[in-house]
Amino acid sequence: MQEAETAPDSVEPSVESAEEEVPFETVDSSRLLQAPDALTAQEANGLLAERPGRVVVWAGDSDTGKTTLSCELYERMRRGETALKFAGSRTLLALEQRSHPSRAISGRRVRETHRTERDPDDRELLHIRAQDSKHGLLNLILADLPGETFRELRDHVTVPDDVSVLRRADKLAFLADGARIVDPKQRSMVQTGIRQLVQRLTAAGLPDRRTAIALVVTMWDLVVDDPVGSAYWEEREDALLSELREIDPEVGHFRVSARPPPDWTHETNMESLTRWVVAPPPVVRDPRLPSPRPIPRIRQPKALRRAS
Amino acid sequence: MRIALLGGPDTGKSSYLVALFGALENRSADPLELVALKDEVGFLNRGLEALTRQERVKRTDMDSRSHVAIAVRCPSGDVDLEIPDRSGELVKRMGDDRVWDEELLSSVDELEGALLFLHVLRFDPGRSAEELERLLNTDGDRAESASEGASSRDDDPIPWAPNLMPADVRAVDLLQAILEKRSTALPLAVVISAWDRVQPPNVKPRTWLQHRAPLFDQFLESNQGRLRHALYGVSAQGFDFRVDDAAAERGRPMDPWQRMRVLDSDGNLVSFGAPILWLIEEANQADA
Repeated sequence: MQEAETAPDSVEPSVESAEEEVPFETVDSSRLLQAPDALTAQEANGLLAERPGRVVVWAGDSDTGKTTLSCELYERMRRGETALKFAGSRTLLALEQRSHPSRAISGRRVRETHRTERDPDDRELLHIRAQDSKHGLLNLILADLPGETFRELRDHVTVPDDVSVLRRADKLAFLADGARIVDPKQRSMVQTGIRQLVQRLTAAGLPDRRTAIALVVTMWDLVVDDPVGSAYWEEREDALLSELREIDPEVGHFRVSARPPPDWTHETNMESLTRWVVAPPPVVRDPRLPSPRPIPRIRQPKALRRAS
Repeated sequence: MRIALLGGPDTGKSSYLVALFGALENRSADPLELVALKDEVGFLNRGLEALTRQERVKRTDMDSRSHVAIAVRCPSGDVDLEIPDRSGELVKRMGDDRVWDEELLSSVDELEGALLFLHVLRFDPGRSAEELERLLNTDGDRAESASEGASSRDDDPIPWAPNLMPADVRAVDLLQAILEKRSTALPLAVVISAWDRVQPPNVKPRTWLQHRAPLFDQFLESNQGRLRHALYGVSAQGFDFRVDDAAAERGRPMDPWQRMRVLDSDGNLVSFGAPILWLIEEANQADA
């Protein structure tokens, strides 16, 4: 202490100057602009209270294309390729960050999507305010859940109630990964994985009868190019659709190619999927059932419970 | 009446202000007329001299505290205009660092209008990775890269940062932030600058925006209630100063204020003061 006081020429930075180098810490939060964060359940509820919307959950293991579908909904608006019009976003930077690996400016020559990690603050919901010619202005809440969430549900490590957005979903799409369908060493698990998810959900009383469900085959361009994988899938797809019709007779079915190769001449079916996303969810499917309960809020996720 | 100039560096904000000043001083901004100066205009005159020399107006030619304060006469009466020429670098830094510029934040709720500048050439539309691949590869290379599959990926990709967002997304981001802080609607004149260099030459400003900046265009259309807007294609210089074309030069008007051009969203030639006049009329309507 004595030495420090008698050494004014020391080149060591003072405590004061070190603090001056981190002005960001002192910025008043009202001066901060939107960060690249997704929304919490509470924030999403606030938006849905202001304006009607659709809560969309893409359900599937890692790398099945969940984030890619959300990004492409946004990117198709940005490129002017859809009838749906962009009206704003509370997660604009989060959408941009997730879309970045698909852009030339990222230095990549093929479009990629980063794998979604579990967010420590439960920020897992993306938002797009969209103008639809038929349904008006809508808040689209797109769940960007990591694949492990669905793997743990399949493994019965967690229970559906731990994934609160599932109970609030207006749209629940089970994803069948085209890349796995064309891989002989993985294809058997595509159908099994979806069946397991459906079983875990129905065992917990889900999906809610207000939830519209769909089977979405992603990376369909890979399946079309593979006669063996294609023939294998046709048969199983029919079986899966029959099973899903027992839950939702109006089950949607989409074979999509969100990011097709440049020489792709078929429909991407992304516009059909977009129409399904914005369509109003069913109010009551079975007239024998009691009238609907109030729409539940998305609960803030608790620490994941272990299934007994 | 306080009007904000919004836009990144080199998007034509200072050039427009200087050209407007030249047009007002020379009674070429009909029906707008200059009534009185409310502050010094040395920086505007220096900018006008640059335009006369057929040199670009650079912000370094102007004071760091560039600020236009003038009184103009328009059909609805006399109006005091106050237009700070905020540095595009400041606006850019605000978007990159995600912290409001303090001066803009303090004035955002008092603004009666804003001019937002996009530049026809300095406009990154955010191309997809495959578009880059197509541009870089010949047919033979493409076949090779297709067979390589995943190995065609760049080994050293660039991590995301806000400054890498496409120009139209940055504009949406800025306007969203402004609307969030305002309690009333904001009249917005969107100026697409360097319009003399637009391709194809006969395209209308509305068509250009729809095709080059669909996200921004959709955002404007979907937020008409809170963001009343008008669109203009503006050429403050009149032509590209870097192209030395003696024959073309002989056919051009000699004075900068006669070379300037403003087109409305449908491509009709309008007064150079039209964007400001539109903002004044919008403010009057809001007051009424």
